[in-house]
Amino acid sequence: MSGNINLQDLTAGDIAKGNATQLMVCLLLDTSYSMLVNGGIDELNKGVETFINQSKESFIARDALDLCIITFGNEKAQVFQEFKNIEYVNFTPLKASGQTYFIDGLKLALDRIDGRRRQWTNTGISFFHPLLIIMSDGKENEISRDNDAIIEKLQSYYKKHLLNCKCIGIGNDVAINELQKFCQPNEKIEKMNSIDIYNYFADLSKSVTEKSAQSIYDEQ
Amino acid sequence: MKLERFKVTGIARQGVYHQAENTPCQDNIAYWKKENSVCAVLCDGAGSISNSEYISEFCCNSIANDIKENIELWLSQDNERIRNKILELTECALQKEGKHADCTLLLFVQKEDASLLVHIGDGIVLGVPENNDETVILSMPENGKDTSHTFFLSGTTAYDHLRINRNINDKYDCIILSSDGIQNLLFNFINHKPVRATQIIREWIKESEEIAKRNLINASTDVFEHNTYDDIGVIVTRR
Repeated sequence: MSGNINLQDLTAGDIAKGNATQLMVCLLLDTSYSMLVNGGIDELNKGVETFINQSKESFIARDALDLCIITFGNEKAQVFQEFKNIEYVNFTPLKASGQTYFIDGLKLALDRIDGRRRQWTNTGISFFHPLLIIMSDGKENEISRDNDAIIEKLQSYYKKHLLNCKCIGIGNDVAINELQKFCQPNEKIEKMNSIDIYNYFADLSKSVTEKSAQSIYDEQ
Repeated sequence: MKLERFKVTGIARQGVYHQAENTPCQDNIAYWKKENSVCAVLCDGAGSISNSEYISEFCCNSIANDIKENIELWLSQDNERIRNKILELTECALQKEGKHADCTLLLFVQKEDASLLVHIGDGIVLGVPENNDETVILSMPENGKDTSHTFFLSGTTAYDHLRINRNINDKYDCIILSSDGIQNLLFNFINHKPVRATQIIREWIKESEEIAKRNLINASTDVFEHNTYDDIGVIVTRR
């Protein structure tokens, strides 16, 4: 190839791209019927949409953020958005109905996080600790069903530094004590009213940008 | 006119993030060549610890200077002594500054046919072959459990993470040392394929050190800085 090379010329097409240290964020969102109370689902939709749009606008987050959205409600837990770079995520508003399938949703979330971690590890892609954000207004009887095994699994992930988690209880009736079992050690549940959800997501996009920039600043 | 066997050049430039924050470049480079030998040292200070740019600079220069004075010793002594020597020079840097700070290290040295490659932490060392074969990774970035973390010269596990390779195959006539700032631009870790940039850089250094340096600076401004926020440190040798 030597004869064809212009000695002045190295272009964007000659380098690798999409190799920035990746940050996977999994949103585990309550879309059960009770989220209709006080406009919770509307605030959730506005918040998630703002988070996605602001992240797309950030030149740092755009390279690094990989987003997955799991919902639990509407008769089952489901993957609303598989892990995908934020630039390619198109959000359509969530609808609230049905019961709270929290444990099923959490299992799905861990399954997708494990899968993405395996994929990145096998291909040598650098990544930060995955971040799981749980938002629920679930009551005790909805959260406490058959949860021993999943709590044990989650706590072992925290212990091995395989996962960071932010657990947010929405509304006044949320089962704080039950939800607390899913938190990282020494982390307290953050309790929010519906109106706070939007602000949380607006701040989250900023912190994702800051986290992504840490690959420059915070190497230890 | 005697044909020059070795060529070496490099750049260390403040990344766009450090420019915006008005904080110093953490990457430092030192290199030299003689008639039958060449040495390239690149250190990247730990961004999270203040004063790491000084440690990075001091380690870089002191290691390069020590090798200049004692190249035979560096190439002949066993791995244990090399590790201890590097840690000793690091300790001197820390004592001089009187503060805790840290940096990574990439080092390549060759005299005649004997060569030595030492690496701790992230950054990458690439070997570009003299024919049209693919560029290979001679030394990978090493990260911790969370792959955004890495290892440094004064860490408690530094001795164990100092990786040493000897007698790099001569078919790689161009060696590229890069800090983590552009390691991901010079090699595609997603499909584990080299990119054309390394062959182009090889052509530059083959032509001359001046051309290579000038073009690296231009590439930093025109290409690298649009694709990384980090400092840009790179040394290229031709042997």
